[in-house]
Amino acid sequence: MARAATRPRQGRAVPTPRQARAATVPRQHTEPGSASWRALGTLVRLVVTDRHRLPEAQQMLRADLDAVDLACSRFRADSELSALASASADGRPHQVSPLLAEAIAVALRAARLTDGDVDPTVGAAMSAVGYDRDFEQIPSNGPSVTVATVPGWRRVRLDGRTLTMPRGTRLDLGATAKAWAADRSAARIATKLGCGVLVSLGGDVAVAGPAPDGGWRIRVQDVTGDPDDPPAGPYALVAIRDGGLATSSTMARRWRRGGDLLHHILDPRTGLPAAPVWRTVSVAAGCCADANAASTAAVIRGRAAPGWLARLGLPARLVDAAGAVLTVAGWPDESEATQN
Amino acid sequence: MSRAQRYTVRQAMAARERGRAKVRSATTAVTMASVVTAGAVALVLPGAAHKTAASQSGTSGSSSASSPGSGSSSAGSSTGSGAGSSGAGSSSNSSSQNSGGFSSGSAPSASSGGSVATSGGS
Repeated sequence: MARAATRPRQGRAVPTPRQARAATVPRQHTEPGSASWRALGTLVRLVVTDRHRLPEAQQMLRADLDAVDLACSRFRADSELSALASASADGRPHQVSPLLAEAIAVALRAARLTDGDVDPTVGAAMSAVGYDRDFEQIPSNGPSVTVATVPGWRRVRLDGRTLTMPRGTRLDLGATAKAWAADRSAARIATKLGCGVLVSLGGDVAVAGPAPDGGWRIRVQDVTGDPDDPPAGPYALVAIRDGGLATSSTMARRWRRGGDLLHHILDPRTGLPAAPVWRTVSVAAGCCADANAASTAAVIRGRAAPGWLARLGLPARLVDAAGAVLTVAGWPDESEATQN
Repeated sequence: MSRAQRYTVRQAMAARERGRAKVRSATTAVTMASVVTAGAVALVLPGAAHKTAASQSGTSGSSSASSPGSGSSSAGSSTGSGAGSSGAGSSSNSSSQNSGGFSSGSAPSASSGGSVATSGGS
């Protein structure tokens, strides 16, 4: 798909806003800049095409993530989501902040697009299987766990900022909030600073603004890490120019209960970790939130996932439990991409 | 874990495979053996995922499935009562929507050399 910024101009056409922004940035004279740190319980990676813009970009991203964490964290006692969990115990409508409303709307959209595979009402089920605090604080081993009923996203109603949920519903926005936050911040930073921006939150990658030559090069692998570290396990190197790319994996965030290995991707129909058909699924889409919804749903859908992704036309890479790789819908074949 | 509890979890996983059930019990004890069992069931179910033989990490083979066909799940277009219908994300990038409602961007291209970021589970 041709991007507006790269289309040849014809006649005296008025430049689009993106072209105008790009024209103000002498890309050939700029060097990229990057920074990494931890926030939202995960690794944050920020890359800009103009290193002189990095300090301001970093400041904007930190502020954005602080706000998202305060609104959406399931583990902070002072978060709006925690307060909502207490307040909504009565099953009555409650007003939420614009930021939390947007995050919940994105989560409900993901539920609708995936026919309920990605369901924000798994909060209680997630706690029941042991994921009830920041992952770094979860004991790596413990006694057997329980299964909790998932109320189901269809019983959640969001009208503007008015949220109504069944009594006792606990929301978990972890499946979608990072991807949405990456989209949101990448767009905001690119618009304000007029440079190309990549935001990765735990491997949920969103890009905005003019891409660097050759696109944004991203190494896809089982577990998100430092790009300067050597890869572990099967990987591929691909480039994207717009939208987002997300990876969901059962190889990250794992713990033991009752001697059994659990992971954090729950099937809302059972309240149990998804069956181990695909260990890692990566998807590219028009935004990171959609890519994440599709990659998470693919892990849960198991063997039906390749056909589903192909029908949707979403380029994807699926790695099965043994490490075999399957690509669909235009994702580069591994013989084309750099991989080991 | 009792035999009865194990059976209940197995039932739930089997129902999940049929794509229609929810677990009703709020306190059914579960062990990962059930999940592993479900995974084994999933792996032997008939179905056409186009994939190559498994290989060791670091040297995985690959194949591609460019056409739809396998799988029987819906394209995720149900219209529930959930009212969240605003656009996901707020990226300024150009994108289109496919029939399933997902936004589509340009496809990734094969690349080489170093990377600026990694994408994996977290």
